Amino acid sequence: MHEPDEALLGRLRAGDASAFEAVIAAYQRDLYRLAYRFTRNMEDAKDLAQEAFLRAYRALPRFDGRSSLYTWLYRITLNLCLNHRRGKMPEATKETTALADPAPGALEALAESERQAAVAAAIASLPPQQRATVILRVQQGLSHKAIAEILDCSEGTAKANFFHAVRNLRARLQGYGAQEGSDAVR
Amino acid sequence: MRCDEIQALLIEVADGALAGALPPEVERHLADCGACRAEAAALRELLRTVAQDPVPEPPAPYWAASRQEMARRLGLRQRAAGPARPLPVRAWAWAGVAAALLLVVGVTLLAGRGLFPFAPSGPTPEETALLRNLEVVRDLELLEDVDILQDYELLRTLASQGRAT
Ligand SMILES: [Zn+2]
Repeated sequence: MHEPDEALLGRLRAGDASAFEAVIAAYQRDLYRLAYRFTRNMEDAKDLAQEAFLRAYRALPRFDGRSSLYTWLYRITLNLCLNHRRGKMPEATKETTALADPAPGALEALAESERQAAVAAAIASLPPQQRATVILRVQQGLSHKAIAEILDCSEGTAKANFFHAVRNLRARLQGYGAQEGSDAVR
Repeated sequence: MRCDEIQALLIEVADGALAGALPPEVERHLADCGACRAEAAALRELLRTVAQDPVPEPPAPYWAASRQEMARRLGLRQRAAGPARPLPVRAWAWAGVAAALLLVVGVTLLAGRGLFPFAPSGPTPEETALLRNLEVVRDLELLEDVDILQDYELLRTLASQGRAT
């Protein structure tokens, strides 16, 4: 586990230059993954995560501490991701297929990778706020409260966004995931 | 409860916001309604697939290299005194270079004296050049350039990965 945000902030405020490197070490994987979720491209995700840290460092004197350090970093990254424009569609199919474990049970692996490609494309087609909410909630595992902080909205709005996002995904992915009607209830 | 009310709750259920047992009225509805039961399963499966969408990771040495690049771009390394490092590999490396140069200087000096015992005192141009090189090494040794160490570690990691594959 990495150093708590409060301790890092204390060191940053005290002018400890090594503290920002500790911040980077603590969050560089998270920010990379977040950026990858948006770009579906490793190089773009690396660049965006780095850019987020560079901007965060320059904006540090203006960080008021009202939000937590990590939600602030997420927010900077998210803004960069939402403003990031690439000339092509997400490379979901190519990359998820390449990642699928070929053995054992190649057929299941293929079905799973196809499903993941379809899900990635469906997420990419959501309106930005919904897309961000799904990524932050389901893929990055953040609480609705943290998501509200990142998106600068109320927790109720964050939950509503999530609700609409899941509904939209469900509508766009009819035929995926509905195969097993058997274990419907716990 | 109506199906749309149930299904609104099912998203929360699938999200894990309602941990543990379902509200009794939801349980009752699901027991009687195959459509909502199928929907509950589909939502769980959907969120599972979304959660498990893989992210390809850069090779392990990338993270340290990236931190190093950012620190350099932000000018953190010049200002940072840096915490005590466990084993200054770089210092050892330079010590090796210095030792080698010392040896060369020493041998040259001895050879010079041996071959030309009556040569005028003071270093020859070759000796001067070697001593200057040694001074450069010594000065480098004093520089707190941790990047060299990290480059070395990165190369070592890459090399060991290369051997492993
Ligand atoms: Zn129903």
